[in-house]
Amino acid sequence: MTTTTGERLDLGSLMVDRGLVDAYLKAVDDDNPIYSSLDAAPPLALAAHVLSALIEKLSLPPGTIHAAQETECHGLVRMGQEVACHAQLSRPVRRGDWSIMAVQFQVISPAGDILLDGKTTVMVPDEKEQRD
Amino acid sequence: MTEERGVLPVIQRTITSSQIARYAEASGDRNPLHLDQSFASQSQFGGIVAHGMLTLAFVSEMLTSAFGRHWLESGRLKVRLKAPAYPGDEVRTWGEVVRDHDQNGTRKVVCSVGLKDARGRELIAGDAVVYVTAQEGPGRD
Repeated sequence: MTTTTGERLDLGSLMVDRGLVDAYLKAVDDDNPIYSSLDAAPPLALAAHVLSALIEKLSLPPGTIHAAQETECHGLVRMGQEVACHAQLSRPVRRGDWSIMAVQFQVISPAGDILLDGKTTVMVPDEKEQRD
Repeated sequence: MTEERGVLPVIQRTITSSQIARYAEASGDRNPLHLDQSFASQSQFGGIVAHGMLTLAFVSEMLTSAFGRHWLESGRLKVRLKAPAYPGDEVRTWGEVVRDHDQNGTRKVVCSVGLKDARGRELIAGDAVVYVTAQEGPGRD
């Protein structure tokens, strides 16, 4: 990892379209019609993409464990908009052979409003713990 | 909606390898703990486990069932992912309203929520908060 504590990370943008939402809902077996009727995305679909973007951006090693999750919705995430994702790292805490890392994130609408934010906490294994 | 006051609807699922693979594809999270048996078998889990966000999705589904668009617009969730789910595990959500009070015509509903496996092992535990228009949502007739 080359990113420093407190640095604001640009996690890129995400087009929230029906294909993305349908693939997510199929993967989690959620057939609630509310998403179609409101033309909206499930909040955790976005949080899931943030986590994946973080793993890639920070080059988190195989074996990294997701330990805790916080999310807060600030409005419906309508389909058809391209949202921006940002994150900020806190200082990792060492515990045995692991580093515990908390990452604050925000999902921002094209108008600049925060649609979703929260905190993802992961446990990152030491190099010697990686078994790839 | 709810069958009794304060108790949220239960979502029950059986975790499968194909679902984990589908989730990895949909989310982009291809951590080998979830996909590579030889890697996962050498981990502390001893085998492939489901993504934490996959199992957390069942908790969110419960909250959507209970609170509808209010959950999608104003929901707040804070959980610990305490233990993994394995392929073949049957998991059930649980949730109950622990506090419900009016704030100027809007109800602030606080719930304890989580997910357990068939042996009663707690996989996820935490709290959710939803702001609901005063006469809507579970727990009010």
